[in-house]
Amino acid sequence: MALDQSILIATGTALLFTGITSIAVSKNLLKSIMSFQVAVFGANLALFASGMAYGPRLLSDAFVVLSVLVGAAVEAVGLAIIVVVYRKYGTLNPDEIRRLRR
Amino acid sequence: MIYWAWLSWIIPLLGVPLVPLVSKVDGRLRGWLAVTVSGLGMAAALYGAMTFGTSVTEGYTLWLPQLSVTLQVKADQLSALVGAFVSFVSFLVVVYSLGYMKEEPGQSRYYSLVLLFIGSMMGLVMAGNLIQFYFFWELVGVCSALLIAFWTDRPAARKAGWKAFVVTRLGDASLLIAVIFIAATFGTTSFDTILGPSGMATLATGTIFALGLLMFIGAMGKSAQVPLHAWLPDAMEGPNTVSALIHAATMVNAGVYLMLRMYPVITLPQLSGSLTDIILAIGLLSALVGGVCAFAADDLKRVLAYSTISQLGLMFAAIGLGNLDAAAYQMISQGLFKALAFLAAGSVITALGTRSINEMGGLVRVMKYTYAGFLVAMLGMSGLPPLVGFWSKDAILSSAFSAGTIQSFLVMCAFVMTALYSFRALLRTFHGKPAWKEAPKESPPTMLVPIIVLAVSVLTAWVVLQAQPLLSSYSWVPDATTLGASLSILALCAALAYVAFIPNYQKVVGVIQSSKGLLGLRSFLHDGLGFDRLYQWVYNGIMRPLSIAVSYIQTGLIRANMALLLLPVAVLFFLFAVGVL
Repeated sequence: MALDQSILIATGTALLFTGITSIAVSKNLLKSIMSFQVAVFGANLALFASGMAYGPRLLSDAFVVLSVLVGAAVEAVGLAIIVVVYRKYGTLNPDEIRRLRR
Repeated sequence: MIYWAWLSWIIPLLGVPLVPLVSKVDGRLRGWLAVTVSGLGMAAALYGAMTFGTSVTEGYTLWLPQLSVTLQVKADQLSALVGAFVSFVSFLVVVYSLGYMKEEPGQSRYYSLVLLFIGSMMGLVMAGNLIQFYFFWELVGVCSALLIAFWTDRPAARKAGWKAFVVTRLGDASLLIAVIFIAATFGTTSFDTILGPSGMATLATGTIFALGLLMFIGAMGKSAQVPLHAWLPDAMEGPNTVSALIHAATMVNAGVYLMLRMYPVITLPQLSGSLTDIILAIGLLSALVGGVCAFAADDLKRVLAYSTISQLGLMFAAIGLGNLDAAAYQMISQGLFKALAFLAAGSVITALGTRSINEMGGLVRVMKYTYAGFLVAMLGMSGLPPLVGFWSKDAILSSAFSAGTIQSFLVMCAFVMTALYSFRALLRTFHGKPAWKEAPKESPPTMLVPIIVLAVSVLTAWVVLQAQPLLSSYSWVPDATTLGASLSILALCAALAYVAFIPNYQKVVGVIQSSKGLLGLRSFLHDGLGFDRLYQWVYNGIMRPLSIAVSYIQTGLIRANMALLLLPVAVLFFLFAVGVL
C-alpha cells in the first residue's frame, strides 16, 4: 500500500515537472496545450494518491473526476484560442506572437 | 416536506434557461414566460406565508456526504414573510417590464437575468445554512452588476456595473471570511446549529464580536451603508425595472436580511451591546448622509437612490436599537413604496425622455395615474398614517425614544430629511410650472397596472401585515407622543417644501445663485459628499501603483512565466526536503 502510494506520487510529480518544462521549451502552442494536459494529469494523479492515505477514499476520487472535467474544459477553451491566434497571426510560435509583450 | 419553500426559488431558477429557448419560437413569448414563471414562484411563496404554521428546517445531501454540503431550506416566520414580499414585488416588476422593455434589444438576456436575480434572492431568503446563503448572496451580486450594465453600449452603464461589483466585493470578502471561520469551527453552517445554544454563543466574546463585525461589513456592502454606499447612486444607469428590483426587492434587502437572521448572535448578552451600538451608529450616519444627498440631487432616480440609502440606514438603526420587528417591517414597507416610486418614476422618464427634475414639473394634469402612484409612494415614504411607512417609522421612533435623547434626535432628523426630499421630489416633478413643451402621453396599461396594484398595497398592506405571526408582538395602537411627533414633522415639512418650491422657487434659486458658499455646498452635495473622490484617491494612490508593479512580472513570454511558476514549486520542494514544512 505505502509503496503504491509513493510510486503514484513520484510519477505524478515527474509528470507535473515534465509538463511545465515542456510548456516552457516548446515552440508550438499546440504542443504547449499537450504539455499542459500532461502537467494537469500529473497533479490529478498526485491528488488521487494522496486520498489513499487518509479519510474516505471516495472523497478524493470525486475531486479527481471533477478536476479531470475542468481540465478537459480548459483544454477546449485553449484549443479554441489557438485557432483564433492562428487565424490572426498565421503562426503558432509563441515567440512571434508579440501583442501581449511589454 | 414543505414544498413551497423549495418551489419558491427553484421555479424562477428553472425558468432561466427556458427564456432563450422560447425566444427561438417567438420573441414575444419571452416576457410572458418570465411573467408566468415569477407568478408561479410568487404563488408558492404567498401560499407558504398564508399557511405558515411552525418553523421547519429540512435538507438533502445531494453530493459527497463526507463533505456535509447539504441543500437546506429554513421556513420560519421571517423567511415566510420576507419571501412572500420579495416575490410579490418582483412579480409586479416583471409585469411592468412587458411594457417598459418592449422596444429594447437583448430581451432574452434581460429576462433570463431577471429570473436568475429573483430566484437567487428567494434562494437566499429560504437558505438553511450559511454556505448556501453565501452562494446565493454572490449570485445576487453578479446579477445586479450585469443588469446595471444591461445597456452595454453606454460607457456610463458599464462603469456603474463595475463599480457595483467591486464595491460590494469588499463586503462579500469579509462575509466569506466569517463563513469559512464558522464552517471550520462547527463543521456545519446550518442556521439551527450556529444560532442555537451550542453554536456561536459558546465562542469567546472577542471571536463573536469579530465574526459579527465581519458579517456586518458584508451587509454594509450589500445594503449600501456609508462608506460602502457609493455604488447605489451610480446603479441608476440600468433600466428602471432593474433599479426597482435592486432597491425594493432583491439586492439591498439581502444585507438587512443577513442581520435579521444573525440577530440572536449580534444581541448575545456577553457582547454587552457593543455590536448593536456600531450597527446603530452606521445606520444613523447612512440615514443622514443619504437624506442630505437626496435633498440636493437633481436626477429623479438619484433622489430615489439616496433615499434608499437613508431608509436602509433606518433599518440598521432599528436593528441597533434592538427592535427586530421594526426592521423587518421597515424593510417590507420600504420595498413596497420604493418599488412604486421607481415604477412611477420610470413612467415619467419614459414619457419625457429625461431624468432631470429641472425639466419636469406640472405633470399632474397629463399623467393622472402615474401621479397618483407617485403621490402614494411619497406619502408612504414620509410616513403618513395609516400607510405602511407610518407603522415602521412609528416603531423605530418609539424605540429611539426609549433608548435616549441623542438617538431620538438623530432619528427625528432622518425623518425630517425623508419628508423634505419626498415632498421636494413630488412637487418638482408633478407640480409647478411645466418645463417641457410637448405634452407627454400616459404610459400603456402593462406599466400602469403594476403601479396601481403597488399603490393599493402601500395603502392597505398594514391590514395584511397585522395578521403576520412575526409582527404579532407589534404595537398596533400608536403612542400619542410618537404619533404627534411624526404628524407635526410631516405637516411642517410639507408646508416648508410647498413654500420653497412652488410660489417662491425662483427666489430660492436666486438666493443660491448669489451666494458662493451655497453654490459650493450644492455642488459638494451633488458629488455625494466626496465619497467618490475618496475612492478615486485610494485607487490612484494605492491600487494603481500596485497593479503596475505586479504587471512587471507578466512579461508575455511563456518561458519566463513558466520559470516563475517553477520557482515557488522548487522552493516548496526544497522546504519539504529540508524538513521545515
